Amino acid sequence: MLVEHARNVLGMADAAHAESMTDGDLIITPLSCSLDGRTIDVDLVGGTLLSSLHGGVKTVTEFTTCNYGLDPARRDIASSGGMRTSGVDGSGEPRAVERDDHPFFVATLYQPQLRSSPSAPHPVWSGFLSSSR
Amino acid sequence: MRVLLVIDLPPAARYHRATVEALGHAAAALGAPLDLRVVASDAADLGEVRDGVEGVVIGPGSPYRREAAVWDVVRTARERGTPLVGT
Repeated sequence: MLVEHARNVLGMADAAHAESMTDGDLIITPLSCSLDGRTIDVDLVGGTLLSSLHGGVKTVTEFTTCNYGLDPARRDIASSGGMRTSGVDGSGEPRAVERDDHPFFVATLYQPQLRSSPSAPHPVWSGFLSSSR
Repeated sequence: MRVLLVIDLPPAARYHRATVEALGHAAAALGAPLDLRVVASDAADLGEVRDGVEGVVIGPGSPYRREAAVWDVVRTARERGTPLVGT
């Protein structure tokens, strides 16, 4: 979703994901430490949709399977052109983003579906479906 | 509500199952019937995003078979204000 943003909103026509492409401007690169199969603590940014979905909680622990993420040197891509960073890891790298010009546009570098149960649906999915009605 | 899930992982794969189940948990809690349409990236239909669905999910499992189709789906949902989650 950040590649689409970079290409079509920011006008970076050759923005690319290093997992699927070898040329172009590789903005999504292998994480220095793979997150695959791990849990991560995500600090939520106050005032964001994601933060409000979680009821103002400061930090959430999430499961992830991701090996790639935004190049830390390109962090600005996640906070420009209507995109804003809504969750960061311990070193301040974006782990969740959303659009401030859209009713519900949420992207995560973790899988909220892995911590959902019938008795405790994950707020991201509940919020998504609420906004889809 | 009609939701489109774009995912290349097969239905039996853990992350595919978890995605469908999590949407089901949320729908049940809301008391809202969920009409979930699942397509692979190389079968994604932009017409459906424009006219047929109230929400779009980009599922886990990159790289996608047809990445450009995923970008097209994201762009359409972004421009039309269709609720979207990508994980």
